[in-house]
Amino acid sequence: MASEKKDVTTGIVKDSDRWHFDIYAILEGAQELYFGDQVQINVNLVETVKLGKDKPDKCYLSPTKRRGVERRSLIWAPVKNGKLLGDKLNCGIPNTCADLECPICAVFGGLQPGKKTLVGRLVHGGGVAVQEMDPVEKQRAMHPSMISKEKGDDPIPFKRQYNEPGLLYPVYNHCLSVTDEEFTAVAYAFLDSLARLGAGNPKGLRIHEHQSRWVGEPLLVVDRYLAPLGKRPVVSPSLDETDEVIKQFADAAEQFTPSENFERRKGKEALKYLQECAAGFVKKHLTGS
Amino acid sequence: MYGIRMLIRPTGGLTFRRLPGSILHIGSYTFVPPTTLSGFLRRLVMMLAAGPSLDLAAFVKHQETEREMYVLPRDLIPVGAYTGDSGHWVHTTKRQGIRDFKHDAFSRLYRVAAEKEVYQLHDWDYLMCEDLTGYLLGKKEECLSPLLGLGNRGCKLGKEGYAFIADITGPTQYRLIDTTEVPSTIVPGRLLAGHPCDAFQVYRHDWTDGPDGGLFSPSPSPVRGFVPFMAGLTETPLKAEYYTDGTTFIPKALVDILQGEVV
Repeated sequence: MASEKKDVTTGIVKDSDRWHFDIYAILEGAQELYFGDQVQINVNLVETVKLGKDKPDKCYLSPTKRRGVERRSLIWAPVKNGKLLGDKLNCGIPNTCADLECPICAVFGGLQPGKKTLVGRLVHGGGVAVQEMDPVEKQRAMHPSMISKEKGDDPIPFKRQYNEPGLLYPVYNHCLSVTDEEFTAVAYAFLDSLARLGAGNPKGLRIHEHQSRWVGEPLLVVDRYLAPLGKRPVVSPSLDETDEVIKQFADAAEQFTPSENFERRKGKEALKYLQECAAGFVKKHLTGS
Repeated sequence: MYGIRMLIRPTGGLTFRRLPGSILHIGSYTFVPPTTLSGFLRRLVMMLAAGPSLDLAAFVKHQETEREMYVLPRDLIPVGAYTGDSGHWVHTTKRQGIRDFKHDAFSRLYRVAAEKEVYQLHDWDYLMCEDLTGYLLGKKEECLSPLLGLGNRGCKLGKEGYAFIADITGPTQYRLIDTTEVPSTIVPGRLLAGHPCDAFQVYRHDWTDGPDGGLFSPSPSPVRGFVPFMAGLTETPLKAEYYTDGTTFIPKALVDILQGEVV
């Protein structure tokens, strides 16, 4: 095996066909969400970005946060015998195992300083909210748990910003040269992380369904390809009209040339594909049969 | 001289690490530096050429051997990619950087106080923009044409982020003229005396006399390392020699430096 690894310049043994994969989705905050940035005195701020000097601030679901939640949803995935997957593989954060056989490190990458580096082949993008809605600031308090209150047991007040519910976040995951089997971890992590995004409570986003385009179908596109023969449904982060964003996303998603080198799945078909991949991951790595 | 123009569309924030720089503040250039664009295009060409076999050479860090670099051949001169009228913004956020990799405190569900649970707080810059316009020059028209097949292809760009080539046009002829215009690219420092600008230390490749296998070769480029030079972005008209197609103005001095001429 060791000599086989030296035969290829990449260090990665070719065991089955590799493809590029892209996931494009429009996520919707199903309730108020907290994607923290920094803490000012008594106020916990959410992260916002802008796209130019004179442009407004927009709420932001940063790709780095999605990446962190996705990786942890794999590490904390339950294995049949009561262990978690990270314990079974001996792979954590920041002590990643960086083994070629690790389904987490294979796509997310790993590092054992001075020993080995496994370059991540999954890249996350997007996350700038569509609507220009400022975060709301809410009063919160840390209440002591006593039933009878004595002097000095006053609740400690603080304020916290939240991203408003209903905000739409176009997001993108790009995989470079992974096998179908390696992609199952990406599909599992993408789907499983949706319910877990957001710090504290509440958590969770859903894949948006629109009332005028792709009615009853999730705004989700999954490409599996060698040659990029479809228009990429990447929408400009400076657009702020929901209908225009959905139109651009759906119009682009419908412009493609199916071929043996390019497969595109949209809406329910794309979701079903991701679910089947995730089920494959569960079968191979979690239930162990 | 001939040139092609590319519209590069990022799918999220990008980081082009400014060096020299602080460890704690990961600063970003506000444009794609010429050397970064060179590596990005070479990687895309290799992915295009590899076809179904998808040789992964372009993704690998060669740590054990001498540093090997895959860049465009010397007769192709990428001069960087720049945000246009749609504007840009450098978003600075906090990131928890790892100081010790030999623990797993950040993936534990049950934590007890651990000495190793240390991190360093970075200020991390992300360049937010809609798209960037990149220029690639070549002395011969035919050496540019293989890159025209890169439309819609994408991969990782810079330290963080992903971008694809949304549009690619050319080759068009670039004439050398002496004029006063707003440069389309960074300008070497010596032309900037007396002009307000954002100044950066940027780099060019340090070429060796070794053989260059060309765009599609699996062997690394004859590059020894990087040589720094000062350059700036200015919005004021500047009198200089430019390569131009009528709308784009690329200072000859920049092209000369990138090709390795000692100035």
